[in-house]
Amino acid sequence: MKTLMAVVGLWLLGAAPAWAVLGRSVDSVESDRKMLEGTVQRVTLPYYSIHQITRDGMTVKEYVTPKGTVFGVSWQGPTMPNLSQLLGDYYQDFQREVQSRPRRRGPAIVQTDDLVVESSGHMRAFHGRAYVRSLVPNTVTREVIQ
Amino acid sequence: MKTLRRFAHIASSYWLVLVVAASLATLAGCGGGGGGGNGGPPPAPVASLSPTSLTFTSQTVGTTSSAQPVTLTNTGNATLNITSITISGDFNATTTCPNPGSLSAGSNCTVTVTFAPTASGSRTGTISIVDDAAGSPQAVALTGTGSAAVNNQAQVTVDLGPPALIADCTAIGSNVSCDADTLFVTVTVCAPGSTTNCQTIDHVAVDTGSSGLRILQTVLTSNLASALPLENASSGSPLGNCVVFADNSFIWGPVVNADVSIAGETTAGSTSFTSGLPIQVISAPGSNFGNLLPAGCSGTFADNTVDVLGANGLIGVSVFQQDCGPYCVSNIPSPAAYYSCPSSGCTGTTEPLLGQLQNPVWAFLHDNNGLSINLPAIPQSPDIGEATVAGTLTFGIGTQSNNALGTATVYTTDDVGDFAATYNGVKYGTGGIANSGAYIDSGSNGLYFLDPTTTGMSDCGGNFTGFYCPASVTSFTVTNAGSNGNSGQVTIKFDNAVNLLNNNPSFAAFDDFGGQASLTVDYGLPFFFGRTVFVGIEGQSANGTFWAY
Repeated sequence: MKTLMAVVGLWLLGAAPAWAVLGRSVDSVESDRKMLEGTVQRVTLPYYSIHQITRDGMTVKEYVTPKGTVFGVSWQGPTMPNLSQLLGDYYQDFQREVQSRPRRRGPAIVQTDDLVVESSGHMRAFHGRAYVRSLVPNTVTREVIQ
Repeated sequence: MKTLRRFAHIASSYWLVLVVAASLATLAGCGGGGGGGNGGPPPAPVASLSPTSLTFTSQTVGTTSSAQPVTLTNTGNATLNITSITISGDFNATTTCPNPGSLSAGSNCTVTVTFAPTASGSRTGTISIVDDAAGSPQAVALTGTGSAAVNNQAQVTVDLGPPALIADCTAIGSNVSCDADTLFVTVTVCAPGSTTNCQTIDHVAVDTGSSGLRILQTVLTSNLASALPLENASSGSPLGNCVVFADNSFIWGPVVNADVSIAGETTAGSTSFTSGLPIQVISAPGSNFGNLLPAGCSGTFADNTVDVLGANGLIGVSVFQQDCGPYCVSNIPSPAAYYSCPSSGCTGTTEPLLGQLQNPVWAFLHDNNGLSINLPAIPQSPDIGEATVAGTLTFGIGTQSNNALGTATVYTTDDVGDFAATYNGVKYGTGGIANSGAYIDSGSNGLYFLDPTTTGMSDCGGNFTGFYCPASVTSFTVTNAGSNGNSGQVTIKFDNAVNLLNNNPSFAAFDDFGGQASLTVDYGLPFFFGRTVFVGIEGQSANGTFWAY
């Protein structure tokens, strides 16, 4: 956790990014601009970087490897984000998992060998996170995704 | 006239105690003695009352109004000797005035009056002040209207759901919501202003985690559905609403206007909703409005049939008046909650508060400051759950003799309706992206509590991944704390989720069923068994926005 203190760069950009997409290249995310303008804040750490996008009350953080792959995302906002957009190619895995179980009316938890999704909250206050185990850099613990 | 004994009893909790009157003759003689002497007018007390009459608005029989003051001022130039102050009728009072005693020239004191009607209709009474001023006894006329108590209680049940659902409930994983621990109530929906074009709808799920009534289009009669006017967005096009829940289920459909009744309570005639209460019709698959589904409104479970929703509708009775609330008045969240829907397609829009979906309780004419849910405890030997449980949904808090807070502890919430929960020295609810507070959600079908590492309980794995499967029933003590500083401990417990569901598949009620959550505590329906849980609606009482139990 000490690495979190080692902030080596911080920028505020006026870019218009889409939400992060799990498992995809961060460049592809930024080129995929379907959404409205927001602000993005970038924090570069020794083994990964965080791109924090705030728009329409929703805060999404994308956790990016040095090579530019999004290995984790987290969110917080007054409404539930569009998980298909956040999880990208992993959304089908998420859906298959939750549909194969007793209906959980409450927080969603998916934990496969590779994918972890945690979604909690209620109207006015939703939050959650998702990450791909195989994409998380060896030197990074999953607890950083918050 | 109220006896002095009763008056003294009423005032006994205050610093002033009214006592039996002294001798009027003695006091009169005393006053007369001060008046002798030279040719000018003798010094004399003057008792002035303001106001000289009080009117109370309609008050439910058996309840007590808020207080109104009357000020007694001695505007004369001699001491006023008060012999007694009494009150008659369905009114009670406390006072700062000496009773008996003396009020010096130029001083004042206050009589504080409340109205507690014992019958309906016009009620009258009098404050009478006997003293040594001219015009004694001075009187204040009291009037009020007693209104008959409405039936504020409805039966609620925890069962397997609507018959149509039970018939289709075949297997886990069939995308049919065969889940346990869902609370149901019966709701009557009428066309606005009509008492005949109504439909009574059973098995509407009670959800303290959201606000707004949402009824499946597939269960509405065509006669009623065609008589519920579409509400318009500011654009003039029909207003649509989308909600996506944490489990990635979603609801979509138009906002329409209706009168909503439960037990003896109704929104019909509400001055805030003169054309009917905004409710949602959950669009049926393939319906005209269903086909307008915006791309941003999506999820894993489309809660638009009885089978998937697991109910005929959803009634959100959270601590908030509206579903989205102030945020959606001036912002469009992503995804949007409200949409302007011309036939060409829907786009996100803002929506004024009173146009949004409403917690029906705050729109009731009576008992509209909150509600409480009481469910009996699940038998503990053997502790295997129950097939069905019947409980009570009571409207109003402290508005009738049956809904007092009593010994319940009030936990006021933060701005999103949460409070703090501390388990094992770690406090949840300190803010941050993944550390929200705890909440009480009757719409959650389990206790969702932290993670296996923190709780030490095993995850069930397999098709029950996310649920807890401890080797034996395991209890946890959690300390809840409200924004008001109140705190208290609760004990929650978990049994093996697989065994609970498999051993008694026809059971619907478990007090020890649940699973993981991410850094939060969701007190779902199992929390309600053996408790009365109060939901204090924002802006409706002095306690503010609160939970109490």
